[in-house]
Amino acid sequence: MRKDLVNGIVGLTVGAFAYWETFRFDRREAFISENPALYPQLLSIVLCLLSASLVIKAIAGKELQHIKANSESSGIWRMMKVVISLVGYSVGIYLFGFILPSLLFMYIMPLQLGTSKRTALLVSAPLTIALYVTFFLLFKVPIPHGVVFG
Amino acid sequence: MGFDLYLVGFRLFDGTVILFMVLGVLLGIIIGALPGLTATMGVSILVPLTYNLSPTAALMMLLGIYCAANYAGSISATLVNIPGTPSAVMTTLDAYPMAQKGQAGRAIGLATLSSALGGLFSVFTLVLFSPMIASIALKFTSLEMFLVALWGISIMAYVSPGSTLKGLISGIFGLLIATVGFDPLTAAPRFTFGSVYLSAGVQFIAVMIGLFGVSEILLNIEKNPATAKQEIFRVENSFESLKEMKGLWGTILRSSVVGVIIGAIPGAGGTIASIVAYAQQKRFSRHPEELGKGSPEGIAAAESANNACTGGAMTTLLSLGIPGDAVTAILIGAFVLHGLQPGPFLFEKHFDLVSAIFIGMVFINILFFLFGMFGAKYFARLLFIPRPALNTGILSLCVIGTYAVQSSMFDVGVMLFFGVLGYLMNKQEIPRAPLVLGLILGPLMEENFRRWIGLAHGKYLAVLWDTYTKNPVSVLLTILVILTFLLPAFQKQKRVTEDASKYTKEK
Repeated sequence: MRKDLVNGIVGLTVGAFAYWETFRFDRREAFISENPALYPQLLSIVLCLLSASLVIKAIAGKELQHIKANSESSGIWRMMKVVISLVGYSVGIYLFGFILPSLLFMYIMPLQLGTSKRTALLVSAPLTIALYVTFFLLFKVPIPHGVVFG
Repeated sequence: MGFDLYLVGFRLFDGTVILFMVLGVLLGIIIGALPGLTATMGVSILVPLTYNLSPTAALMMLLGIYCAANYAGSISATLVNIPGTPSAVMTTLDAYPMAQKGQAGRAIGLATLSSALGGLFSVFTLVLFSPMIASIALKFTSLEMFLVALWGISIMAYVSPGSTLKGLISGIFGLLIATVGFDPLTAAPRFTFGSVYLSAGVQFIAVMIGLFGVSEILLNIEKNPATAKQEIFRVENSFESLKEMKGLWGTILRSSVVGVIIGAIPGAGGTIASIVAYAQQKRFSRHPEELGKGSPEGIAAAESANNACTGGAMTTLLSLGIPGDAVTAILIGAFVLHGLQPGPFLFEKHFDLVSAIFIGMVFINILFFLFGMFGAKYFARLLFIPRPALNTGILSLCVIGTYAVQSSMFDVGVMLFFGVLGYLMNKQEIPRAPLVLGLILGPLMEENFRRWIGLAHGKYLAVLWDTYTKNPVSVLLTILVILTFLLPAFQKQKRVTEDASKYTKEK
């Protein structure tokens, strides 16, 4: 299956869905310029047309790139673990605030990425403190306190 | 405006502004010197930090990161043969061989001075041309403003690496995302799916951090999990290189002109500028056979061109509100975060801030020159930082930074979604910059489009004909947009951008 065939089909699906969705907009306008659906409808049509061109190009064989295993499965798995950890970290800071989940994340993530336990332990606290100082003290930007500790 | 435009900005400079400008330059050098971290990523993940700063301090810090990171890519290009930023890709060709001969300090010195001179030349063109372009743009009708924005997106799609068609799809998708939330005219909810969080629209900072911060780290992690031990050359005295400048003025001036012109083309950016300037140098050089073997001319051409892009990109950003590259697209987000809209009206409403930007960019170029010349050997040590620790710190910064903008965990979710989407887009070779540009320019485009539709009162063709016959700018802009949309059909190969992306990937 060609790479751009997938891209084109995804684009077509998104465009068609967006077009269909515009019919659910509230349209009590007096003038056409006040129609909230007009502009998104035009965009969805253009998106569909461009995506259809991509599909045609891919089928006609003008785009020669095929989906190939250009990434090692170990690399993808490593990346997936990072995404899962990031989701966990985000949930963690939502529940427990910045400090605890950050200390844990800064320890676990370098370990996952291949550093030794010693290095992970050494960087965990300094990185957390550095971020805390940067955000909270230097830039006075709010950091999450967590719903548990409120 | 007069000469005041070049002086009034001094009023906005206080200790805090100077402090954050210096901090921005230092952060920029750090980001640029570390392979895998780019100016785009640096600016996008650090925008939220500026939330509580004054607009001047915030913009000085971000401009400091932008200009200094563009320069600092040459440090790792010289010392480990890996461009710190994609725009330093041509610098590696001569800087690394020079370092192999035991002249790393000379190479870094040449890169530093050429970058600073290229940057200063571009600021000169910025202060000269942007007020002129802005005064013309002030007379633009709503149709013309719409066409300028559309042309910006289409040209960014055209020059982005990969297929133009995919770039256009990315840009239109960005425009579609920009319509999420309440309609600005009728307050009707659009694409909110009943969610309160989506009523205010998609937070563009979260999108930018996801697309340029998280996805870049995911790609880095996938490619290279742990620190590879690499040989790093010792940096000796950089000042010796200053004596060589006498024979390089022509090269620097010529390459700076190339950089400014390419920088002003939306989406082109430093990588293309350095490739074009390097190719041009090969044609004009008296010793073209030396290029690629440690030639000072090669370093000067590549570095002055990529830094000259900054002024070019800022010219279209400030005068038209159209970014010249991905970093300036993100800078629009920073302007909006501080309640400002870049474009011709900025010269009318925030005259002093525009002046401060001109002055600040001069100082930023001088600052990174000083830091680079005196501190290159210390910045070189950054290359020893363990990559897993660095990547972890950046990911945490992305999460906390996104949260900080609106204290919203929903935004963190949006950021993660776009992080994965950016990763997938990269894998599918779909450029990400047009999406961000579409998202940022979306409201401006919709507003002008609907205003024009409203004024036409149903007589679209008559009004269009009237506009075209009275105003040649509209005709020119329409032709440009149509050409950019039609070009992919007739084009066999995008040589410059494909060469650039190919080379960057190889590196």
